[in-house]
Amino acid sequence: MQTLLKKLAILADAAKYDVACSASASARNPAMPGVCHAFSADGRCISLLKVLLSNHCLYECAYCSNRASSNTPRARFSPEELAWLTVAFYRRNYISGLFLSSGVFKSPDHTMEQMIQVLHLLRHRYHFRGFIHLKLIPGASEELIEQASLLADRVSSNLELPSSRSLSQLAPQKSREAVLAPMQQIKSMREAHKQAGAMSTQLIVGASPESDRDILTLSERLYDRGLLKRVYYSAYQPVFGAASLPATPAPLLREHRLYQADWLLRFYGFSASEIVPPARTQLDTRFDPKVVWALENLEQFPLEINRADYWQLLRVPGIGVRSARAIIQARRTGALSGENISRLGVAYKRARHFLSARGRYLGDRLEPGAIRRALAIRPLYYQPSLFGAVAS
Amino acid sequence: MIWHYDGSLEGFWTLVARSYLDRMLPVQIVAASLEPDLFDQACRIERDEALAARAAQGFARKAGEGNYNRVVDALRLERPPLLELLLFVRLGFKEPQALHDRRLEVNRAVGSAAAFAYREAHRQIGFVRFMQWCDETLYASIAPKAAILDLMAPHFQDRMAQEPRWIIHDRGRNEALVGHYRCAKQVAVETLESPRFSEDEAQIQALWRCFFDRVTIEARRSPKRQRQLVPRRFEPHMTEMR
Repeated sequence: MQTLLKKLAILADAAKYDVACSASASARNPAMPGVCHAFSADGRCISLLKVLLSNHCLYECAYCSNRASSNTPRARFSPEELAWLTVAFYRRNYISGLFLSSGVFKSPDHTMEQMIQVLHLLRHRYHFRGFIHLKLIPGASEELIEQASLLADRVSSNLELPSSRSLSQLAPQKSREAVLAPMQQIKSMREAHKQAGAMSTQLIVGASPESDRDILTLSERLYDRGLLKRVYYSAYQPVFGAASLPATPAPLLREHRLYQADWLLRFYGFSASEIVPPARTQLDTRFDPKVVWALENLEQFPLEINRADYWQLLRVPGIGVRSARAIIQARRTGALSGENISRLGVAYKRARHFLSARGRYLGDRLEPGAIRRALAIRPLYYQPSLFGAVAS
Repeated sequence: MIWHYDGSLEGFWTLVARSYLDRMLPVQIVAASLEPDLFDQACRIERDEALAARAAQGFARKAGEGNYNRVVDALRLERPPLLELLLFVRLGFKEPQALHDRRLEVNRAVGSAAAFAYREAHRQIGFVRFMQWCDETLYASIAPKAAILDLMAPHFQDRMAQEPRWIIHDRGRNEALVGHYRCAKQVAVETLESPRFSEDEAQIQALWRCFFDRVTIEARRSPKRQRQLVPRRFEPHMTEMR
């Protein structure tokens, strides 16, 4: 019999690659959202107890460390153990709630039932009011999905790979339909005013050949159809060594650029085809997506900060949701100058190339090459090799 | 002229009222109960509750709840920008619209002081770590950089709604928030003798440390980022960092 400590070590280890982390406020739990309880050594916010119920799995997904053929150590919590552990952590303010996922053991329905059992214990025995994020098991029955979404604050279903072709190659037992069906179901539940948590999904980037353009177009479609509240991107890392996967990791910068683009989709009123126009397939790695868009549409600039409306301001690199609001608030009391807006939280070094104030252009030269040079990130230092030739 | 006052909220509002009644402005304001120096041009402002209430209510009415809260939050700091606060309040009485103008130095000083207090409370809300005593009481000690116990209270009153007794102890200020289910009150604490911890406390702490170590993705390890997010001063109070 494994000790609880040993189980926790295995099942936390197995769950950590799932990147969803946020605990939003919900009707059940109106407490302050966005509380980070701890930060792990990789600098990620910990707000939820993120574990698998079990890492025994029938499936053979190439990208997953818990696939059936992998020789990783296995463990499984009993629903009682996990509910007790969650409450013990929650009471001490270590966490805001639980993030529960699982490998598929026996059958999708059986796994889902066991997970629901944990939620049931939490909500009804312990009267737990914390946040619960539940991963739905693809292929579980509609009744179970409905039960689960009533007990959880957020449920999610991982697309994992951006196209059904890649999915069938790397995760032969999962189908696109089985992943999308619960999203559709939750959406109709919400439309029928049943209390059901918002959905999110995760995409692994760089394990399959899809371009950034494919990925963003997919995210845009999912947001537009109201299926999802959030898409998480996870740069692929070849730690698990399955033969059908690329041997090189996807750069973290690619993940970072995708998140920046995702924010432009959700909060800045951009469309995927503006961020990655048909001429290109990948996001630029040197500049963030908004800078790239602005440089390609330079005829719309410079923008007069004393007249531009909110949505126009949002399109200026260096101006975000908060600073756009601050500018609109501040200019009520008088015309703004460049010096003024740098105090309003605007990243002035970036923004000035695209702005004018009281008719005066704030940058040096409104010309793509010049702006590009001004915004390029220079390496801070160059470390010469002791023996190697001097780099040209 | 240097003005001394007792450092309390009422003391500050009394000071505001005095600046109008005496038609004077200080060059410096000191929050301390020090005896005025013989050689200093120091003036001691005695707290006057009635005067303070008039000034505070007047300001809230004239400048709005938001600006009133900004003043109160800024005063939570260990060293609040007192002179700027006085000028801020006077500006609010004269020209309340001008308080929104971020171009003015006083507005920025008061705004950032208030934001600091709010941020400190928000951070502490996440970082507080309770330990369970053998009598089921949940106890946490903190050492915040601003007096924020009452800002944290509503959050924990809701979160601890099922806990018969919980305590958040501000060690630096010798104050504690003592909760009983949804009720909580702030009390002065001189010394506190902690009873033994409950039997499973050590086990649960070990489980938490285990989880905390395991969630790190080695390929992304970045101690520098972690240090930025959790400054060293929080460490002694956090189970997983000790």
